[in-house]
Amino acid sequence: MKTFIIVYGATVLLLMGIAEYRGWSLMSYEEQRGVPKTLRENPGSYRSSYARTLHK
Amino acid sequence: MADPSLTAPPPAPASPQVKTLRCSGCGNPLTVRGMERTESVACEACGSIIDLTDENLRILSTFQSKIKHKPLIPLGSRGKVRGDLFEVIGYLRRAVTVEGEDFEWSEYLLFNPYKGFRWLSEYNGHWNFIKTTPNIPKRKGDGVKYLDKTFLHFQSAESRVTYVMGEFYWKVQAGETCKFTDYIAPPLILSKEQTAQETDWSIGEYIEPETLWSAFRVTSPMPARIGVAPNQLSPYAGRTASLWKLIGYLFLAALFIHLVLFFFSQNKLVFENRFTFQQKDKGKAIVTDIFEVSGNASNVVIKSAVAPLDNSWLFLNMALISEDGRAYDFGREISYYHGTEDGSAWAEGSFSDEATLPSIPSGRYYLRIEPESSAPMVNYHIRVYRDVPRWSFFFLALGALCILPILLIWRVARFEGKRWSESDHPGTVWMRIPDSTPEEEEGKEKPKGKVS
Repeated sequence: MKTFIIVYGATVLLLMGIAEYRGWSLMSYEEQRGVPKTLRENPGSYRSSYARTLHK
Repeated sequence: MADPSLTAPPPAPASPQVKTLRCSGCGNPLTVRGMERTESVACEACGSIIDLTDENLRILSTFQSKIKHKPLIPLGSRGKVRGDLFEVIGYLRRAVTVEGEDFEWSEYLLFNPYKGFRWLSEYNGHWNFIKTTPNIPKRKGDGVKYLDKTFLHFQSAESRVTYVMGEFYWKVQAGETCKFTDYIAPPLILSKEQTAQETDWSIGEYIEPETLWSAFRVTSPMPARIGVAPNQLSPYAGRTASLWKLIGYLFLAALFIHLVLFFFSQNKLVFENRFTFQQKDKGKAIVTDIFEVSGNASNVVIKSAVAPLDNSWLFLNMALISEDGRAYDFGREISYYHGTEDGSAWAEGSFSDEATLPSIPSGRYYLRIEPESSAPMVNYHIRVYRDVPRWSFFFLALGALCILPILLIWRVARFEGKRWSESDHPGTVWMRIPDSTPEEEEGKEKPKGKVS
């Protein structure tokens, strides 16, 4: 029981520490790569993945 | 104060002194090892119990048992128990009937010419080393106090002798009954046995079967232990305090880690601006100025607030985009509705929102915002923070750690529940958890009630 408490407790603390340090979040988002630098000049050229799924 | 009857006199070598005679019932040879202290002997062959105090060896009674029980520790076996050498001279089976069901156990009479008699009892693979005591315990509630320990009442019943083999220091009778009451303070058990003639108290201590098998060099297989014995020491006794302390340290460690990370987090405002949405801008996206996100990979929190919304909504399609071409897309809605229904006012929604993007590496970023709204015009305010401390994971960790005390309580309760399930007090576990053993708190004395 003692070993279990130590291992379980240490795991919980480790996960909590990593989650807080790395700023984990449960928020839903999508990561995309290769966005062109010209986007700043023409913001409309980029379509957010959320734009057409909600409030279309 | 230690029980004087339990204080061991200096050990003396015991050499077997055996007298042989013949059963007056069947002529079978009988062995008497308890010398002049033996009053009766049971013949293994015919079940006759012979009165040794009678010069004609009259038969006291005869067992009509169809089942011949074989003692796990054979008669005549000699072994050292609690430092003294004993010989097994008698074996009997007792039974109680509870709610129509018979429960049987075995008792072994041990003899040492200098120490006298001791008993070993066995029930469901659990063993006790027992000796009678002349001291009468004091009553305390429905339990008793003995050797500075409180013994809780476990059960009271009437037992009867169902089988006998070997010799005994009283004139044992077939079907002989006695009322007994057991009190427990694990690993000790106090038993009060009452017959019409006398009342005897005995104290027993739970003993591991391995100890007996090794002491008596028993070759037969050890019976498996079933359930929990009344006075079996809980595997958690003496350890719960340290486990509770350990769990407490884990809670403190969680708080410490959280506070350290909390105070060392940047919680830095990296961007802030106000915007206005108008219906004519519908479908148009805007980009913010570039802002610097520094430090290790951590969260980025985007806080949005709107000027009061009136039964309308604002949806922001947003993307946090780095200069090197990575985009984190998300959408957030802010809405506020209110009204009156059946004479009472109601409202739902809010004027602000908070979005947290996890593990964003450092770099230069900007926001692309594409607003939509049902209102003709909405003013909104965007603020971006870097490395914002969160309490949520701390509380999640506390929740996860709370499983440990629950688990500990459950396991202790399960063990005690099994113990008390066969008592006169089933279902009263929390009121009847026996005293912690003295080992529970370091530095305290060891139990005084060792049976020697």
